[in-house]
Amino acid sequence: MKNKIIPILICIVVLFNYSCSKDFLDLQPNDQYTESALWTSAGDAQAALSGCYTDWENGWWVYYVDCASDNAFNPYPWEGFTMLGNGLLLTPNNPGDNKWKFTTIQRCNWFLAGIEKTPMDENLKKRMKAEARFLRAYRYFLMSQLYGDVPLMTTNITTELANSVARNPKAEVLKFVLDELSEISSDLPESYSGSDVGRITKGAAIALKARTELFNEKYADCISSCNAILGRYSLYNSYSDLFRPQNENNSEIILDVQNVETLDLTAGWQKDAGVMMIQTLGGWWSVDPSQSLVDTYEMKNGKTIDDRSSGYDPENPLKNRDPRLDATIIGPGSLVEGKYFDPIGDPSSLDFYGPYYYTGYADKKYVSQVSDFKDIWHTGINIPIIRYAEVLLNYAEAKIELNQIDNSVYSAINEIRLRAGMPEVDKVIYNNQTKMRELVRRERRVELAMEGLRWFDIQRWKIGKEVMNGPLYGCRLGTVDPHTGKPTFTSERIVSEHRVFNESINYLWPIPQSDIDINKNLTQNPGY
Amino acid sequence: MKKKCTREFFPPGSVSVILLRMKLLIFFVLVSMVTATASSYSQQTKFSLNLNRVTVKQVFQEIEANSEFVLLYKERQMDSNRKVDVKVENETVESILNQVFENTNDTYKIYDRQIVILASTAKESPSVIVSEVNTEQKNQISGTVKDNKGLSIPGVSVVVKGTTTGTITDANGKFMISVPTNAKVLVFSFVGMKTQEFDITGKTTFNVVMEDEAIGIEEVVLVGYGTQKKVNLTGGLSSVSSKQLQARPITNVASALQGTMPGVTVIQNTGQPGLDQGTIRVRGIGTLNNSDAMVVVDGLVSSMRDVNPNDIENITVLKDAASAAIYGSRAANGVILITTKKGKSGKVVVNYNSYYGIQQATKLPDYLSSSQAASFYNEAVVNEGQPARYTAADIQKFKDGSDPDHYPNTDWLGLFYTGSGFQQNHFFDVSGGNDKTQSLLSLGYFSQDGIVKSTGLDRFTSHFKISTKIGMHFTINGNLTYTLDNFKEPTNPYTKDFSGYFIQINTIGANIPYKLSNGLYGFYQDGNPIAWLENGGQNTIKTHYLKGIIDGDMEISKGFHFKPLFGYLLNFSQQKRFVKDIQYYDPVTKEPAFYQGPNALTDRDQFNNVVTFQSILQYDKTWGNHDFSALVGYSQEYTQFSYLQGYKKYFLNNSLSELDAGPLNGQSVGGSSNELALQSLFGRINYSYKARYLFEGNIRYDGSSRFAVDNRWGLYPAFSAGWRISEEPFFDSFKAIFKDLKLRTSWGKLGNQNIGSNYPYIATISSGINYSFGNVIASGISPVNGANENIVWEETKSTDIGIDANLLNGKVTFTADYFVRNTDNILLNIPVGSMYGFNPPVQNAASVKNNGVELELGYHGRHNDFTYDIVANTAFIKNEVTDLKGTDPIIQDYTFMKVGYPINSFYGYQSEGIFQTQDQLDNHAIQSGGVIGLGDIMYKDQNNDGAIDGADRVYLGTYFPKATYGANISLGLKGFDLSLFFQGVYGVKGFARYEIMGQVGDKVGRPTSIFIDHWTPENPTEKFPRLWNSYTQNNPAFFPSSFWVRNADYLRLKNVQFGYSLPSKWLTKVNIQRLRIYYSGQNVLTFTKFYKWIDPEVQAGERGNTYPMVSTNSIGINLTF
Repeated sequence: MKNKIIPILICIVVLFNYSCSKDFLDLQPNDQYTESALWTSAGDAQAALSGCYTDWENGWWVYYVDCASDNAFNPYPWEGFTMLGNGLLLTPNNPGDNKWKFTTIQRCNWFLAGIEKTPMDENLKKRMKAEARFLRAYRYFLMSQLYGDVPLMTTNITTELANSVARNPKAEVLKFVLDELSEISSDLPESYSGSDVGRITKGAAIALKARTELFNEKYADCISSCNAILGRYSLYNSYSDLFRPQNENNSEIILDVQNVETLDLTAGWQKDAGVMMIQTLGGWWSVDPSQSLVDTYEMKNGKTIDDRSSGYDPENPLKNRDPRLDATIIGPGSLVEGKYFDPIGDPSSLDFYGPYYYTGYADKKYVSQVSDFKDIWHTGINIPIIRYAEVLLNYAEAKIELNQIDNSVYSAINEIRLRAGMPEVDKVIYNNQTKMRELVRRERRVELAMEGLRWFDIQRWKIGKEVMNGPLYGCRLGTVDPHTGKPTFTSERIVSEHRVFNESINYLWPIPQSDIDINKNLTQNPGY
Repeated sequence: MKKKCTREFFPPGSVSVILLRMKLLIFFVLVSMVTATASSYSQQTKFSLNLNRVTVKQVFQEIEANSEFVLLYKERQMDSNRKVDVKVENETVESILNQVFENTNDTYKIYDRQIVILASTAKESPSVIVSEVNTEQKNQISGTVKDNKGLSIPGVSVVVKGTTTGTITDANGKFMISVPTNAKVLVFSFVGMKTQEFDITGKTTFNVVMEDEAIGIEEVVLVGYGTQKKVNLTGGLSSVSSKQLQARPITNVASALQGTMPGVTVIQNTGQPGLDQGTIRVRGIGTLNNSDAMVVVDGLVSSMRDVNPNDIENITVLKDAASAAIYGSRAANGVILITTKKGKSGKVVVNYNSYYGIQQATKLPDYLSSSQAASFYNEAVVNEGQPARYTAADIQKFKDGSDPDHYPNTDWLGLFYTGSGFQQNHFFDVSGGNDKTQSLLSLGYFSQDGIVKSTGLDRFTSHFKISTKIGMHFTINGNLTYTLDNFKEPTNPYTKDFSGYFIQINTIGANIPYKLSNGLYGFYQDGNPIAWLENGGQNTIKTHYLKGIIDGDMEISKGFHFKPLFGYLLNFSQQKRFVKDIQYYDPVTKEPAFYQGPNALTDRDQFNNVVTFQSILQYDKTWGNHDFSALVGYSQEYTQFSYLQGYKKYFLNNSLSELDAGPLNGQSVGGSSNELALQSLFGRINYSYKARYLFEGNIRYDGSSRFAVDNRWGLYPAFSAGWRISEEPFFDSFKAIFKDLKLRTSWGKLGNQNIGSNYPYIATISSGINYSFGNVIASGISPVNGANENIVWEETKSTDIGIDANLLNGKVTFTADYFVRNTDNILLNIPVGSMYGFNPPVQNAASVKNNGVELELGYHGRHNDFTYDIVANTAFIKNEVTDLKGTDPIIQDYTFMKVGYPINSFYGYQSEGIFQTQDQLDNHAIQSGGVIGLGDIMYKDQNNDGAIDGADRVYLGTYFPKATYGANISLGLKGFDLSLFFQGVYGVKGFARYEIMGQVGDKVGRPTSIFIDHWTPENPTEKFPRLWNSYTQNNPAFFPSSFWVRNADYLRLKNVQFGYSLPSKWLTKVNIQRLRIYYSGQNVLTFTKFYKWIDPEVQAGERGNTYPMVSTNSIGINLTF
């Protein structure tokens, strides 16, 4: 019996000694940092700040959102902007590029909590905090404009709170945004160099503050904000080359989304400029400028097209117009990559306006030269968010609204017109508040077309019923001579869609249904 | 095969060796019973021998080595060293024996595989008088042993219970034995018969009737970490043997299981070569996370992917907690135990199986022609206030095909599904061995070309198994498997992947030309999918699976075993995805027009390995009527995963696809690794009294690296009990009907650690959240996923009550189970308000209950040469969410989760029909999605607030069937066999939208036949609303409603097989034991109420953007030497 006990004991020892290696189950991620291993130096904080910048804003938003205005039409309902434009959206679920999104805000909150405990240079720390606070303020600005009341959070929250938090009144959110922007502007530098170019500057903070103030009718505040940066930037010499990749980071850019071609390589496509291109060039033609936008451009002589003396030729509608029209939009007969663009002649052509009832116009801004890009879905092009031209227009508009129409107003507008190759404002015609308001609004629509600001203008000017109700027109039908580009039109005009605008509903967008489903304390905007 | 050498059946003075051998013999023969045929083995088995001047003993050894015969004789009584000559050519054993015993008075008797030699010198039956008992007083006992038909049985072992004293019966079934006076019981045993004990108190002469062992009753089945007699089972499990799997030309293990077991559901979503594994659900969906059953192959946790179905000996599915609890934390969704075939001692057996088949899509969307699509498009845009797009003349041109460049009617599906669909399988194994070492080697080759060109899979498998006995008490087993998969599928320059093809092929209009008359490709804004396919570009994945297992069995003392196991699993894959760019040309000017690209290459190497160590101590003991066994074990598992990836683009052209050929501009590199560990202690005890009352207890203690230290360990107990009513004395009168009747019940608790994330309790910060400043990439980090450090194991508590019956002498088998399975602490990504900002962490938030009934009924019969087997099974399972911690309803697109409803039920609007009158329109709640008009679907205003919005959505049914059923019918007549396998589901809903349902569109979107009978003022049908283009009110993708949720019940003839086995009298001449040729059809017939062009097995809600299901027609052979 004794000789059997020994092997049994051996077996038992063998059986259980493996469990003695205590740390067998103590495994940590190999490819991800943990909170406890972070915030050791300025480098950690820098990386965390870069993470906050990721997707703080993107190109698709800027490109597409004019489809939610009278500037453009989104022919593909599944892309989500069609229903924001035509008012048919009633049961909402994240239409368009969902801006009811708190990722950037919570990343910034996380960063701001973490950098506090990081041992590093205090001045640098101050600046970096200001950058993150700017990004957070930008998102709150955007959401409060689109949705009205927004839950205001300045720290990371638990999942329980995320499911029960209520919306703060818009005024409260706005106050937060403006206070933040005021506070941080002194912590930010005027400019950066080298591989810091593109970070938030003092100018960006002040310019966003000015925009926010203008949008919320705080005209006096807006004027003083604008005054703080007027003259500190300058318009780039060519409007048409302003948006090309080789002219990135020029003197006019106050704030932009920085992109580089090699970022996010393995993805099928980035949210990139291909959506703007016509299909024969491999694009989607998703953002179609409207006839109403085309008609807004003045003639080269500074007269509007409804002025009988303007020389406007309805049979050659793109001729002798404000050069910004040619820099922004192509239409029947426009020369594109050596060929005349023809959306109305041959139904079997990819450029044909059907079957989605494209407007017959397409975009040129951002994609004026196909040869600028190796791959239109990975262009690496920066997306301007605030240009100096907008600051000038903000200033002019605020002054006009307060009826302080002085020379500074004319010179601000003239600065823009002259750069574009247009004559100065005719002071004879534009000599009172009403006419000046008309002028600055037209100038704003034209100068900033397809830059994602038109919807906010409609919203604050309360002109939705006027401009976003009824048919959305495109160009007239007819043919284009393939050799000369000369269009021959019939009287029939493309109607891309019929729009409905309900003033009691449509000035605010709906909160996504998915959040309403989860959070009982979250109210929906009226009418949705 | 199962072969026991009995060179000397009766070594003088020792009966214990006989008994040991008899035990083994019984075991082996029982195992073989499944395949044993009723026809006489001795007549079928042919020998070719040419032996000169050899001993009788050598002849016998030769017979045994080349067959399954066992020769029983008494060396003392027969001169086994006598020299003889034997010469036979394809003759039966009788010819040999006749030659051996020629000119002697010795005779023999053949009883199936046993041959008893009856020496002429023996006056009595062979017996053993053990010398030491000579001093004691003896009683002389004699009698006859017969079977239940009254025929005498020779060779039955007769032993005094508890001693080594014994004898065997003679040629006439007679025995005579001297036993000590205190002997009380004699034990009679014989292969294929039930062992009987007989009380001899006061008797000297009596007759014994042996009963056949019904097939199945003594069947041994796999249980966790061991085997058990089926009669002694107390848990709920089902198994299938290789016989049921054999020769069905299935491409993977999961589809082999489909419909063969009640409560085991196999869902197959695609027929794409290499991706058609399907998913297995045991007793419903137990969790909202990974509900896949755990798979254990030859004792090692692994996957079904690396097993060749031809190598499988048996598959057992452990369904309830009692049977699965020993696997603890990973067993909550059931355990699938697979054992592979192994070598048997004896004659070398060679098998060759092969089939050739052709696949076809089961169903393809029946898209309408370009002329119909054009007129429907006109109608849709007119409905929305737009002018018609096409004139009548245009439509006529589409119809008559007079101008195919401008008005084509392209059959995109016909151009796309042009792959050969050819598949072939070759499998070869050779096995054999002696009583010390047995081994098996198999090689397999499987190749499958898809029904789309450039799709396919080649698979090479090899499997080697060896088992060796070292000394008397130690057995060591080796098991090595290597599989190589070569998978390929096309890529494209638009979406880069293969699945993008299906979106295109199902949406691109028939009014776009494939190729123009000048040879240029037609295209639209997404390109031309056939041009992509012809342009090339491939995603190839070469995967190497290597599995090695070494395990041992050391008998420390009688009944006490130590079984260590070491396993290594390696899975290495090399992926190369090359996307080719494509330039389209203007059809008129032939200038370059539209470009899709750039070309790009992704190379990815992925490495996954699992190291397992396990050891078990096992003890079995029998005292009188008490059977006891216990097992205790330890196991640990370490998993490591890593990958390395490189990417380049802008290759000069499409001819080279290696990274070094690409430019530096635009390159990127990635790589990562992670680890997991699991540590476990487990144990089991079994106790049975008189094989009548059965009890089993299991326990497992598991620790996982996925949880925080405080929540790391989980304890999982299970208990079960059984009562074999048929063994009760009072049941004797029913024995004629009920051969076996058992009631069993069980309760147990299981865990689930399969929660998707490796470190859900650690707040991690991801890297690669980058940004660029001044055109330089700045590496960024950020939290992406929220963490929950309080996370604990999911827990499943399951109760089972079952009955097993075997009636009419094994002709009818019946099993029924009722079960309740409650899963708590389900780890769930509860939707969290977007204010949270990160991906929500998993939380222990949900409870789900599955309860149901499983039934299986079998009938096995024969009538002369006609054999028939029918096995039918069905399961009724009810699934219900019982708790969501107040977060319900959780709505995701068209499904929701809510307490009281099945998991992920359909959720949407309730249709009240179609607006037929202006009055209805005026008085109805406000609907959105477009300008509402006559012919639109009317949605019910559930809350009567006058508007149709999110609050009006309700439960619309579930895609989880109320009942699943299957039936296997096998018929045999002489050499012919026919089997039919039906499988179906009942009480299930389906929902189709987007491409698979069809869309009205011009160049994008194609209507199917369902659109034909749509609403118009002239045709005010209720079947289909008016047509739409950009309006969304009738679109199921935007407004999921009861209008679109349909009955998706189906019944499918899953497999039909017709085979013929050539008569052995032809085969023996060419040394072939068995040759069968067969035809097999997979997915042959389908009956469904769902859309007629949608395969009902494809999961509900799918868009149809996947490779279709296939039906396969094959012919094959099974060959055994």
